[in-house]
Amino acid sequence: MKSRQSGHQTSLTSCRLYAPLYKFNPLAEQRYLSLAPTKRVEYEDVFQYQFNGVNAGDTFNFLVSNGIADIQSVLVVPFLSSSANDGMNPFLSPYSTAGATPDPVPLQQFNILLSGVNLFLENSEYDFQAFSHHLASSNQLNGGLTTGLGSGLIGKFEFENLYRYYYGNASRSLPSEEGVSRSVQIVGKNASAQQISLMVFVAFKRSMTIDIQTGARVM
Amino acid sequence: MINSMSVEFNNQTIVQQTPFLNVFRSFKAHTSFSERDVINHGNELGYALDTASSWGYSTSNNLSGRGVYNNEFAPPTSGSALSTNWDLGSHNEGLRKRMEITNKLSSGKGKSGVVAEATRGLLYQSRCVSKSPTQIVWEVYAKLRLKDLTDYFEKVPLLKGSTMRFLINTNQAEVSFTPTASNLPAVQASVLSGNTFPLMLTSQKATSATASGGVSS
Repeated sequence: MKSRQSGHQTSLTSCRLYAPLYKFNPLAEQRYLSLAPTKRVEYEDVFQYQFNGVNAGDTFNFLVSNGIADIQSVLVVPFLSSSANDGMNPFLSPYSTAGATPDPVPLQQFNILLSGVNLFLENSEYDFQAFSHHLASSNQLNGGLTTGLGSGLIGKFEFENLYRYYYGNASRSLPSEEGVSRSVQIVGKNASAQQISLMVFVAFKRSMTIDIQTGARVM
Repeated sequence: MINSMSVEFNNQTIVQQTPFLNVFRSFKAHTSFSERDVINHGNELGYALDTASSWGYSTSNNLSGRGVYNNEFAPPTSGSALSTNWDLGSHNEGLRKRMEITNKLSSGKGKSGVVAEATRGLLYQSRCVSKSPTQIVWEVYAKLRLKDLTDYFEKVPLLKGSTMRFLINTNQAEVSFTPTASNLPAVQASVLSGNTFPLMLTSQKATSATASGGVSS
């Protein structure tokens, strides 16, 4: 990388990719390849949507998508709109941490509807609901249920003051619902004093089967 | 730093290109990293959680900038904010830690007598290379763990003979600003690539006994 102004250039002039490479004990390799010659990989991919111009105190009801199959989670990240941020897009403000953090925007009456069915039994009205019931278990070891074995860096203090991620785990479904497209809708109320934008990420499951001996994709 | 990434496996797209990937992966990091992950890998990844309570908001002249700002990295010089306003986290400790990693002037305090600046360059160390009244130059190396960019690399098994292709779009932007004695102006960055300005301008406010800032009083 080279500085436009000074012409200074870093010592490392191109990016590097390091990948682990293992040399198997022949017996272990034979066992590894013969026990399960194909492996099915299930992983998450993401869709991103944005909804702008929710005024202070207004309720919102957005249809995020008409249909996505195998939805795993829905994440709503609120940001101030440019007009509320003194004319600066929060992502392009040199003073803000937006992007790495949400903006400190509270939402009330929040719910996620999948094919018209509420994901949360009751609308999320208060901070303790949005944090304890939904966010606190997200992406954590055993959902944060094992005392002494936890992960995650966002506590209630962090949630209340800045990290206002609104998250719904939608991964639990009946076998009959697998592969069936479901619509995604978000409802709520902007409880802040400023106009906001909402960024929505819908994570969904993908899968593929690989022949581990040849590296070919089987399915 | 990354705006989007797509992955092809044997010429088939298996991870689609999604903008604002930095927002989603930041959420993943905040909710899945443990404190030990931050201790072991925070420095090399440039990761330190921003303090939640140190942000402010201003639409008038302000030495810490305009709109929402969270760029005061220097703690109060003495005493405790507890006695004045109960705002315990008045400075952004995460920003301060990230600056420790990237802003250290490696030749300072006579260190260059032991490890020459040129040697640090050859070792690919992130550092402040030079400072003058008109220009500061940093070299910052970014380590991107593939498993932090997409879930696929967390799940993929040992295999051989596959071809993978990554398409990575970075966030690149530049900002031009003229600070005054009383104000950091409302300016937004111009995007060269991506959607997010990945750098921060720190506060010009002087610290006091009970207030955080960006320069010593």
